[in-house]
Amino acid sequence: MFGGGREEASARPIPYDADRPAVEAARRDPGAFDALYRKYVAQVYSFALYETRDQHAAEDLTEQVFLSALRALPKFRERSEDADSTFRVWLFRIARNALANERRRSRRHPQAPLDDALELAALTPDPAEQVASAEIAGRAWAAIAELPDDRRQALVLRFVEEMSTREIAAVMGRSEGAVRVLVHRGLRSVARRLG
Amino acid sequence: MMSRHERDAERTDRYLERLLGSLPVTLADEEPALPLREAARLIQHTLVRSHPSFRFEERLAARLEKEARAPGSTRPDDAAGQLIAFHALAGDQIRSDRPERRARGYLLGGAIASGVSIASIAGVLAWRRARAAAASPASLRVERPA
Repeated sequence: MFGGGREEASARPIPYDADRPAVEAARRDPGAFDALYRKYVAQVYSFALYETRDQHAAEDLTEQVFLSALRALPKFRERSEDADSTFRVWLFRIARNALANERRRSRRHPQAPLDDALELAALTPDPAEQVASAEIAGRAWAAIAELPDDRRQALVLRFVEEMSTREIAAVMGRSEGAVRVLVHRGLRSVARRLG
Repeated sequence: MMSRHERDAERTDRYLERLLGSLPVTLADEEPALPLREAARLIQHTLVRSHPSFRFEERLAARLEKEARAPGSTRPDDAAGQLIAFHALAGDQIRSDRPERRARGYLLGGAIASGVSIASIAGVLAWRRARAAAASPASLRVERPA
């Protein structure tokens, strides 16, 4: 429908995963996995937090993801010899699968407001500006929280994780065109709510 | 032939590439509609990356270390979720290292630690503090030296 990733990718250069040396090191010595963990723990935790809206659930999911990744790392190496993967994409695929499994188990989606999950302390700018901007931000969070799962995840991966459309497509198992439409529609929904 | 939705989505995608990459803005007729641009900028400032507590991070690091040192613990685990066949992306360029991206702000156990200075986030922080005055205090995250 939107043009498959294969066609869009055909003219692209050969990929290089900047994490490959660290992945290879962790394959030789599993203790070296710590470098990958430190690099990505906040990214995975953030994704989990925006999806679960609960700090403890986000921690549980983060733990599950990294334990799974550590155990499965030899398998990733076998796949990565095709030179068409990155560790980060693989890690977020595990995170998405873990999240989906958890939702199937609990049979519910988070109901808590998104802002309740974010334990934020204060900086001290102008109080009037604080109130105005906080109100707008709260509305933005509410709008994002109400998006369908795939649109919200696409927005979080795009804005929070700063993934490219191509990476998001690989994580979500969609074409790049489909991801562009998800992000566009997600933004449009938020804009409508804010308007 | 692309539908209007797809063309709009491509335009939005190009705009986000510039916005998130802090690249120069080009001609106005290539921009998405104003409400959508405003929503994008707002989301850029409100959807920030969070960091888990130092305590959690170190506890999990210790568990991973223990797991890594256990004999045979890193054999492929079929229960680890679906591992991905990336053959559909053969020849693809997946860029995980994106040097053009500017540093993002982090929330470290309750405070923005680095990156962009954002007035709206500061407002959100204050607002949340006021709302959460009765809540249990967030654990303070100590940033490790580089």
